[in-house]
Amino acid sequence: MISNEVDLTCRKVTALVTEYLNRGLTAEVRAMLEQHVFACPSCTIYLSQMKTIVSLASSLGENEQEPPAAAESDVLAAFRRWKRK
Amino acid sequence: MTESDLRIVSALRAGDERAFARLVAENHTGFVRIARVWVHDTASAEEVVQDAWLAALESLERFEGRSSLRTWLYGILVNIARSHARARRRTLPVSSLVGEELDAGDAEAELFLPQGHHWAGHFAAMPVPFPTPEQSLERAELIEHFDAALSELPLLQQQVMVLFDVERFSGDEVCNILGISDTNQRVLLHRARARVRASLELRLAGAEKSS
Repeated sequence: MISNEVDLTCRKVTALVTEYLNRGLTAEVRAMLEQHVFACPSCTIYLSQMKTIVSLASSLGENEQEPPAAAESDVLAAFRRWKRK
Repeated sequence: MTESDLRIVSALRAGDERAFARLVAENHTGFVRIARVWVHDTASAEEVVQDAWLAALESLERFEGRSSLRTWLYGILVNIARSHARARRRTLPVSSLVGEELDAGDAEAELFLPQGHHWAGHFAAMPVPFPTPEQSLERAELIEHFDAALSELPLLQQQVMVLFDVERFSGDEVCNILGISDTNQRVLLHRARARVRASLELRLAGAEKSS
């Protein structure tokens, strides 16, 4: 638990976490957030959960699948029709 | 227009079928994933994707390269997917969805100690850490839980999160594809991640107990 004298509450930290991970915060706010997280076990866990979520989302994006053959031949047929126009 | 986009667009306009097949294959998974946000089965999603390609071909002559080719294609896809959903009366225009999802309020408020409490605004209870892949859960399993949590999000939050976090579009590109403001995009992304976090915490707690 951290002192109430610190400017940021956990609530404010969580509200800023998305911008923090997207590198959208000013250097000053970023430093305040990091200072809070450093001293606060709950926010440390929260931040680590959010990092996991971003990393899981990006792994989902790496899992590419081939288009089914039928769908592919339909769009290719459409391309040939379009080409003749 | 970037050089690579210019090359692809010129090839398509010249009727290069291999270039088109490559573009279709490269975007297939992402396209189906986006379509699935708006329609609820894979067959309808495949249909949306096909219609999107037809619509893209129809408007290819008008593509001016003000956005990247990929952003432009996803914009077309989202419009087609939304109109399919609308035809089945599942949804409203994006502007109404923005209002609806933002008015719903912040689901995280209850995590914190209330006003008046000495520790107001601090966590009421410590969040439960997610297991690391080395602990009991395999990463594939973790992704499965994540995918389920993602699919339960309200439509627009889900759409913003898939575009930004899964398909890795920039904030500006997401705004461009969905026709929403930068502020709304940021709030929707944050709400989406916060909901997924809460849902994943619950799911993982359940998975731990049953294992």
